[in-house]
Amino acid sequence: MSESESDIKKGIATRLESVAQEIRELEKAIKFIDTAVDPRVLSDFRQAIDHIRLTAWTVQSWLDQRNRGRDPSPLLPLLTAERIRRAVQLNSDLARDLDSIQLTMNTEGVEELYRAVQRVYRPLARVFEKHER
Amino acid sequence: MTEPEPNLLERLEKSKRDLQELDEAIREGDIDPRVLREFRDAVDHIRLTAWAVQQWIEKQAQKGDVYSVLPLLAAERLRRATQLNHNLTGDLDAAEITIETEGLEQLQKSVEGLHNRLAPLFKKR
Repeated sequence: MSESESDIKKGIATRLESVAQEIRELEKAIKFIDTAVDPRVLSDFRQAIDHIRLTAWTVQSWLDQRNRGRDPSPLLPLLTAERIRRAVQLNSDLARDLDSIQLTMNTEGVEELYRAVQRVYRPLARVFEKHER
Repeated sequence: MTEPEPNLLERLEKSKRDLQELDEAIREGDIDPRVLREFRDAVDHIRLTAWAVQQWIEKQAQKGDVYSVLPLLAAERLRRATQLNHNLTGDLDAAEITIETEGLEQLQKSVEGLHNRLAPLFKKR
């Protein structure tokens, strides 16, 4: 690894550490405003904090593994599992929004969502079909 | 209500700036594009939700319409769900998701649930 590469990685590691610390402090601070901000806004914000925390950890771990000369690719399935977890959460939230008519076919973007759900539906069903054979 | 808002607003601003700088620094690092994409999504996610929290607090202080923030967040939620389902289709096609992948059954249930609710809306057309 060249000196400049090493400097870049050190710089990223320091920034990641600092951002991780800020996220911890933000989480503490946000507890104080529970009564003032709409629960939907807070819930989205908390989910975003979880999201950034996990991806920052993944970036940090990726760089650590590389620095030790190890293969970081085993981290990728963790990222996929997290993507699935977030999709489950979002899909369930949107299903609830549809039930309570907060979301209708006239809502902007809902048709694109339907197309995306249709597209993921088929290959997903195929994975289970293949397994049952 | 307790009064940590000015402090919180400053923190939100600082976090947004630091995340932006981190995002720029990470682009120079030797990181897998999938990890990078996920990180950038996470940065966008926190930037937008932090903005929503900020807007809510500021509008409340100015006695403005706090609820005007909600449609923007709802639209963002829709966009994120569309993007996530699209990315998962790519993962399935590339066989990066298999029957062994954690959470697959819950994913199928959630996709089925959403599909069952959306399909009748568009079949009526």
